[in-house]
Amino acid sequence: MGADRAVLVSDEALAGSDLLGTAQALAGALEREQPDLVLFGQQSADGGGACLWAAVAERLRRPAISQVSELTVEGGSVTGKRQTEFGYDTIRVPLPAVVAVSDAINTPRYPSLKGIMGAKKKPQETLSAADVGGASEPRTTVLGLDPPKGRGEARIIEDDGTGADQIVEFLAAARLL
Amino acid sequence: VAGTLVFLEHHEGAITKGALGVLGKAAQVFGDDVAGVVIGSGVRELAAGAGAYGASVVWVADDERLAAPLPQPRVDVLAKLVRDEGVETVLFAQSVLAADVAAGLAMRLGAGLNWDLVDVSSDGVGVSPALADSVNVRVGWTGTPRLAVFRSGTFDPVEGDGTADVRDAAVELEDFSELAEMVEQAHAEQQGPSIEDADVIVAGGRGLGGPEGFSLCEELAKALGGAVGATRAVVDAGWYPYSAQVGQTGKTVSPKLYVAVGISGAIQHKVGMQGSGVIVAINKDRNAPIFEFADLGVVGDLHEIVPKLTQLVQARRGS
Repeated sequence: MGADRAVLVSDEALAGSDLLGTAQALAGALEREQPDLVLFGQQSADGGGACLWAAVAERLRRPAISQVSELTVEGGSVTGKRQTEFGYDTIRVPLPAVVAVSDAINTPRYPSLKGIMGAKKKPQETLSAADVGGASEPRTTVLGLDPPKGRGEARIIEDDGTGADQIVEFLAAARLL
Repeated sequence: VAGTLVFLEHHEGAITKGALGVLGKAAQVFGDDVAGVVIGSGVRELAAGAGAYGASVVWVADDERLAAPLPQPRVDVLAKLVRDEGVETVLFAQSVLAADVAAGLAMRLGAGLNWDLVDVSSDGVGVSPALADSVNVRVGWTGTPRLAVFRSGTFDPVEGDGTADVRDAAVELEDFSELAEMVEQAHAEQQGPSIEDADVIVAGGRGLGGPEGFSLCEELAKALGGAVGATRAVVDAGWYPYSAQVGQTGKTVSPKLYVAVGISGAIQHKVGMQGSGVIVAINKDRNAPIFEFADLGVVGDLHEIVPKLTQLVQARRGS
């Protein structure tokens, strides 16, 4: 996809890391690299907290902008348009900074065959927990799993011209009109 | 010791419904010892009102440097308050701002943060639905302070006759917290109720065919006294504003009635609306996943059904 080099932080000691553990390890790796701009994506598919960047920015003591749908970098600062519940905020921060983009920023392109082949030659470095400042005990725990409450059976009808009437009857019976 | 502290986010001169809902839940679970905190500029008047929603104490950090809704200065205020008062639990209602504040605060305090909770008990066990809400995970904290973000729309505010003791919180900002600058705020014009507040949501998806199709949803929403929602696909396509987006990367809503128009019901959308009281779906594809979790599904042409439905609802409501 375009990266020139990759750093993998992988260590048994980091298995089961919670937000703080992950953020501390990432911040440790970033302190070695000292990049001007750290970019995060929308959220992970597992934890999905959509807040890791804020913990990393705090650890690095750097300014941050999240949920960014448009991004410009110029003159030592970065300006991001942040999507919020209420509309858009345009926020400017000086570099070095942390920016988390939202999924509206773009549609990722498919990697080309040339890119895939080229990626095999790109250097990758693997760091241990000790390299990034050590692992920390999780502050959160998973205690157990329960099945959620299910919904009732769905009633599906084909519209034969009376679909709208049947919806109104259904809503009236459910006291929603 | 002020046991529990609730972050009271505000917008345009009012504490958000989500924050008041969490405050009510906190008061119900943790009793009298629940404080709120309002952070901003010119927000003192907001604080006293929170007493009616369950806060016995409301802390106010009122400072011009806190005018813009930026997370990092809020972490500074909260961290000092938590340390000075020995707060054991800090609760947030999910929002773009609150998630950043909570995660920054967790790191500052070395505290555990659980998010997307739909319940919490007084013995410190939270419930977090996972894997597209197919399982409820019971989560806990290994120590205090405990930080938690609740899923948006989970609790309704409960208004009582309580009053809050308003106190000043100190404002001491870190150097890096003052580096972000709010250049401009552009807020979507609000017509009718917002989707967080609405009892009825009429949401549209790709099946509408184009941005002009949303007029069908708007008319039906107006007839039902509700708000209009949208899927991520149509928001990304520019058919409707992000503020209306329901789903994993938008809002989680739980209205009494959710009408899904031309929405296939992808899992990312489902997680944002499956807590709705009653779900009615209209879609031409009878294999659409939305029909698996709708209470009433109508397979047909939405362009025929929705205008007729709007007329029938108008006639019935005499509007």
